[in-house]
Amino acid sequence: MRLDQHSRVRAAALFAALSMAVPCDAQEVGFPEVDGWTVSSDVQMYTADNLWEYINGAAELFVEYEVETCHTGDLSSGDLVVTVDYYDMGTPLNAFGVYVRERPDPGIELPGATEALISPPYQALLLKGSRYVKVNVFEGEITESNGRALLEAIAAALPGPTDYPAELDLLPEHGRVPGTAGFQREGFLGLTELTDCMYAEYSSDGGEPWEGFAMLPSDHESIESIWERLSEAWESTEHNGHTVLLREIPYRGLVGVARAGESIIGASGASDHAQLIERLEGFHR
Amino acid sequence: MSGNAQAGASDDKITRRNFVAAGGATLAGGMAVSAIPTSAEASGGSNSLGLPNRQNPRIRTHRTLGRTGWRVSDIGFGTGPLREPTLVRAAFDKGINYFDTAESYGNGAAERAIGEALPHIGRENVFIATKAVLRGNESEAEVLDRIEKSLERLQTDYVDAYSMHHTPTLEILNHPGYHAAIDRMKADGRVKYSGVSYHGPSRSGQGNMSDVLVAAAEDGRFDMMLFVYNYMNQEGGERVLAACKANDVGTTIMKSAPGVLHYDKFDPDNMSDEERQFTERYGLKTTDQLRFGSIQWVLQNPDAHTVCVSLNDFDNIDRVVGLSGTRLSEADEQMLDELAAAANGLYCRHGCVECAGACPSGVPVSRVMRYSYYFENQGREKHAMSRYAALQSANGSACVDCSAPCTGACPHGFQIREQMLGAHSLLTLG
Repeated sequence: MRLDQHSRVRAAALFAALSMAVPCDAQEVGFPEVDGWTVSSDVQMYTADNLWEYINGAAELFVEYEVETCHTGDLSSGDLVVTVDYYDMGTPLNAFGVYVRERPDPGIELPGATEALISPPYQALLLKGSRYVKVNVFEGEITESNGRALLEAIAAALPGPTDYPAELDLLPEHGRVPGTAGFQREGFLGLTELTDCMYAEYSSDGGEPWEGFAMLPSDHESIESIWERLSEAWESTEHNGHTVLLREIPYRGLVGVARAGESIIGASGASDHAQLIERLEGFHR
Repeated sequence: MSGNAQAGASDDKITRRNFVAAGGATLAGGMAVSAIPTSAEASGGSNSLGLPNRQNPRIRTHRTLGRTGWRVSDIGFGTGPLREPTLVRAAFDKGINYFDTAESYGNGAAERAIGEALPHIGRENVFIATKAVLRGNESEAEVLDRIEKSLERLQTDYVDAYSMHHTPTLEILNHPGYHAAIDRMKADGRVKYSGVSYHGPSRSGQGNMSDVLVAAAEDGRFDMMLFVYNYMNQEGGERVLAACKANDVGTTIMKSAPGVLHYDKFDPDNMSDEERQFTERYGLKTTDQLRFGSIQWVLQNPDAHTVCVSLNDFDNIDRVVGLSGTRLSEADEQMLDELAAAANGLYCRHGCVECAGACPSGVPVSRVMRYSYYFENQGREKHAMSRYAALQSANGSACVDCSAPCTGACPHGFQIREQMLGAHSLLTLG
């Protein structure tokens, strides 16, 4: 392909940018060596464009959370062969969000990881930084013991911090039910207008738990813009000089939101206005 | 590849711009612009493409799901990202009675959400189809265990259909462990029907979608199936529909709206001149119009018993249910035909992976051509080259010294080796 002068300069600039953007050996970074385990298959890489080829309709969830890559391959040690999927979710928040959506039970602490879950005999999950790792058995069985050892080895091989995403701090700790926090990008509570929500279950005085949440700004929408959008669509009421926006959720009662400094906080599942206000105030305390 | 798409090529390398120009010529020159009514002016089942104007929508059409005898809603609930049980309840209250799920959807979260909703809607009122990806070597006991776990998550003592999920070869269709497990579960009344799903090959050695599923339809042991059928990928789906009709097998459809989730989205803010002319002529303004029109296209075919659609929030449920029983207007159908012809001339067939098993080096042909399209037609050069670089050695460089066993692998006449070499040159600044 012949390029004119202008095109050659442009091409050189593009090439330089790409050389910095793409690791020299992307596959090794995406599928790290794990101490005590042998790679026993080809490693495949998928992106958001084609992840459906690997996991079919399950890919929708990962695309929702802006998956960047999935590196998958088999590891073997003794009689145990596992398929390991390393999902690079781009940010700790997205990795946390998809991990919680897929986690069937509360997770456990694990050295070198943010959180983990071992589900004998066939599966184990790991969260570390912006990576979500799924281990599924191909041959043999996972036990609490060998599963923990495997996950610790995987965690040790992965770079990055082990902290939970900083956005978790938006959710008040008072009344929060441990292990229930999550992050949903689209359609929180089944509502189109509730996007990018940190959420958790809360209990009030031993009553039925309800969901409290905090809405996050996004690249294309500020908190002010979100508030304005909700103001146009939801009912409005005033309480102690503050505006509360509310609407009914099918089958679940009322959901309401209020400004809390630079954020928007919300509470769901209230049977009436009074309960909604009480929950918002308790949530905000 | 259509003759029009070849027009304008002055040498062996057909550039993407030539394809687009040819496609655009087809759109502009195929018929007089003034003779084509806009979607809003056309008569027919909807006011405008994909946006029927109905208050309080409900399912209006049911179809018999093959030999199961079940009268299923023409729109089914695809539960890939499902988390909220209330969405299941809302869909049921609007008349949807078919729910497609899988053990892998949300790692079981979708099945659990359905399970939480069931006490509110009545188990006997809905058809639940779930599935699991099998490698082909699982024992009967292992498959039984997978089924039991699904039943547990669904909080039910039976499922209406249990399927092999993503079944890429004829060998796996004959999976002895699966069939033994299904026979046992059917005898116990815990699985009513057996099914199979497949969307096409993703790597070498995997079969073509219609070949595998036609064999499944004729096999006799599968009562229903889930497969791809849409206005951009008609031929394979129609083969499967015909085989299912001949063998009284139930048909459920996935990926009815190409270009929404898995492929390139129609992007009103990022269009070529040809695309802009096309959209202005047909009044196409939003991605939802195209998405809903795509679903309507499939709904029109009575041999497609239920079209499974992801329904991620209450608004989406209302809008999609509103399509039930509707038909495209003549102008809308014409628009989709033209769009399919134009899009299918851009880079292979949109979303098609029919040749995936033909390359001994595993070069992902459809993906490479999509990256080439990003580069030439969308101006996303850095993105395209970055994606292409991530393929590493599984790219067009493998074609240089290859004897091209892929020749003829494309059922639509796409010249694979030639196009891979051209794409490689483009995407590596070679």
